[in-house]
Amino acid sequence: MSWLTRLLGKSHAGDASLQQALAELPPCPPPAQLALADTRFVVVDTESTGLDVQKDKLLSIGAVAIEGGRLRVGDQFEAVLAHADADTRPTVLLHGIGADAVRAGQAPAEALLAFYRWSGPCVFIAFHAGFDRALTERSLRDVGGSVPQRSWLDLAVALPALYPARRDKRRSLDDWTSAFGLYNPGRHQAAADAFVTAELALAMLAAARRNGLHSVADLQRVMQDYQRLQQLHPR
Amino acid sequence: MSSEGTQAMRSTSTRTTGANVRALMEFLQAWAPFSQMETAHLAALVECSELHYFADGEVVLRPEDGPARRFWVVRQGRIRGERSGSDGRAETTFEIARGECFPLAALLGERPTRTLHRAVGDTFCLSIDRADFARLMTMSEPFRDYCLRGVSSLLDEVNRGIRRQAQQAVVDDASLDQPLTRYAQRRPVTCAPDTPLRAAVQHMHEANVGSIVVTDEQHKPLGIFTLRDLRAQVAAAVAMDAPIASVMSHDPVCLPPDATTFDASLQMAARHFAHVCLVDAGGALAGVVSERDLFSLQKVSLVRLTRTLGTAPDLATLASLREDIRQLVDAMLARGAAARQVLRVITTLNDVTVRRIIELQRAKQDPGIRFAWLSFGSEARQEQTLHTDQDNAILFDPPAGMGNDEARRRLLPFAQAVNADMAQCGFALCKGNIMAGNPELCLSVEEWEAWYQRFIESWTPKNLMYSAIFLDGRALWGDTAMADALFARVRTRIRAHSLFQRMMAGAALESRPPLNFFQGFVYAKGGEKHTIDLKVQGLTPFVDVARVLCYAENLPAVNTFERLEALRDAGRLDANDVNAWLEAYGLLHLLRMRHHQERMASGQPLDNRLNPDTLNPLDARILRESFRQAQRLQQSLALAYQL
Repeated sequence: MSWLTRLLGKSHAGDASLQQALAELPPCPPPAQLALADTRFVVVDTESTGLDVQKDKLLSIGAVAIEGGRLRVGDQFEAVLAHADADTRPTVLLHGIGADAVRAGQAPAEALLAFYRWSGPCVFIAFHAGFDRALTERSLRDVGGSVPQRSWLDLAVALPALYPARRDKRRSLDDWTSAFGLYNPGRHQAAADAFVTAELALAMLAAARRNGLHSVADLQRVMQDYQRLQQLHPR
Repeated sequence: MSSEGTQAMRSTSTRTTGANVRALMEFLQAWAPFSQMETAHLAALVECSELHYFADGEVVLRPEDGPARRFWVVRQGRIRGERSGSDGRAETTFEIARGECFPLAALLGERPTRTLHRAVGDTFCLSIDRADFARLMTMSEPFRDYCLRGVSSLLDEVNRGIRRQAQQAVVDDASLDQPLTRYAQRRPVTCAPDTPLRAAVQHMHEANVGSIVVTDEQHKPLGIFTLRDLRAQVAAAVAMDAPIASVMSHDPVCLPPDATTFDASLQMAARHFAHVCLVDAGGALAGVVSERDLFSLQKVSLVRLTRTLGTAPDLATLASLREDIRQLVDAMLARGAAARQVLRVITTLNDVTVRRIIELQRAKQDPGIRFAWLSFGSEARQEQTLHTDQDNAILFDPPAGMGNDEARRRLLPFAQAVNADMAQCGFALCKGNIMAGNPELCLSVEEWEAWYQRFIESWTPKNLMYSAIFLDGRALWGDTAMADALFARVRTRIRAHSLFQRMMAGAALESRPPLNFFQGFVYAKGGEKHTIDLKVQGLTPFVDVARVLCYAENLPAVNTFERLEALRDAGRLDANDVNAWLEAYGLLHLLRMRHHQERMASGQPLDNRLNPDTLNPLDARILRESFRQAQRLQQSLALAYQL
């Protein structure tokens, strides 16, 4: 295997068909054209072998869709990804995905394509979205796919931006979960984390509408303002 | 992006996430009716559901939204039902907590909700649309049962629990709530009042019936003549050409066509008639039901029992029939009869028993003075359980020339004997000596007037405590008109005495429903630990508030259910509120009767102390809601009297 193929990921015969399938996905309009009220949001949580988005492997994806301000329970996605050489030992205690489960999972190219197909034209939401986004997109590039153009919203920014009264000391997903009286029975399982994140996203989107925000771009602007303010006056 | 686009995407999606669906199913399974549903049906519900979020104070549903389109279950948070009160302020009528569903009545009735539903705190609700709701109703029987029983399904669940526990000794398979028309002779035999007896009997013979109804030109019943009457006439050697009007029983029992077998058997029991006429709205005869029509169908052993009680030859027989009463009550509870029915049956049977005791004692020693036997408290309110103290008195009218003291001297031995006989039949002697045999409570009309005047004018805390007894009164035997007139004068006096009303209102707020600010139970003081007192803390608030409000409006009803209804009909209380209070009051009675049954079954002395921890979650929820309704009723009284 040359350094080039290694850089592009584990290339194989599926490359061409993966690329073609990804190219056939309908595009998503820019955020300014997406009304909050009827955009499809896909709330994502991922589990990995570690916290290094450049090296660690994507083990599973859980995702829940929100449309028209409501979470459709029947519209969910979950996949465990197979990796021949993944070292799950450092994190197996956290998410419970061990070597056996990983071997039994789907091929990464197949799982990621299914994920993007299921997601459709949407805006992704995640808690600390930067991590989930980097891991997901790098994993797709690893198998030779080019990443579809999608916006990602970080709930860890959007929640404090829209709930100033609850901002203090709320940092983690667990903090916010309990602030809304919610309970997550399956913490660190991608599907369950995605679900509880989606419940928080429902509240966040409701707050955005209450604040008169119309489009996804409006919401992004409020989040950026909050982040700038945080940089000026860090707590 | 179009929703069609995403729809198309979704059809190619992988199957739904098992873990989250399972987690939601587990959440639902903690509550009725989901706990009884098949797993596959519950999974279907969850998979077609949506999760919605409502911020604190956000409106979830309102009447203006049109017919209800979705079925909702609270996953987290609370929903408050609001109606605007008489003063325009929003008033909370109910609260829907985790695991509860709404709006069943509106959804099934395909109408808008009548109450504004508002979220309290961050609220997450699961919801399915009408089509899926209908599909689920067809699939799942427990779900269908729950929904169709709608708002009273909680009551039903309690009933089912009570049914399970009740002894099945004398269970009839049919309910008492059958429409009476089903058993009525549709073309009863009738005749005019001037018909000769011979011709009337000829009619009966030809038609092969046991009764003939005497009617006027408008076909309205004037009287009834039965084979039993004929026997009496023959024995008395009445001329067979006498007009039927001279020998018939006047004022037959008449019921509207929508009356039930229960109503009929109660009337037969209470008034000693074996026949009941059905009359239409204009009062014209529409049918006749005989005791045998009901009895032959084995519908109601109530009729048989009252007859046996009413004709018991001696005290020992009466006493032995108490066990039959207990069994009948068990059977009624087992059939899931409403509290109100059970209470009325107990009262009717107790009334018949006491009347028979009085008649038997009069046969032994007739005091020879016109009097009325008064009953007070729960018996007067017709809310007696099987285990009850005596609260009674005598109102008499001495014959001309006889002083009150002389009349009293003659009545007291009789009254004391009746008190003792009642004790033998299971009516415990009153510890406070509120009994007819007490010289202070065996009084003439003017003495009672003076007594009530003192009671009202010079109230003391002890007086007020006794208002639960002496302000709920009715005549059980004897000159009832004399007693009614006395009680009417007492009402007028209290109606005019606003200070006394205010004192009563204050006293009515003293029994606090045992709920704290956080809707947790507050245990009663004294007695068994961690228990609440169903009577004092649960029932008494309803009884007391209904009494004060009725006296303030000069309404004659004595029974608490009837008082609340009278206040509703008089426009004094809101109809929706009254319905909620009637249900809550009935539920508390049912829980109390069931508690009594359990104590009796395990041979423990009867009390009203219940440990809420021993209740299943549903009963606990019902109990909490009933107490909350009691609080609301008290709040409305406090508002009215500015207390």
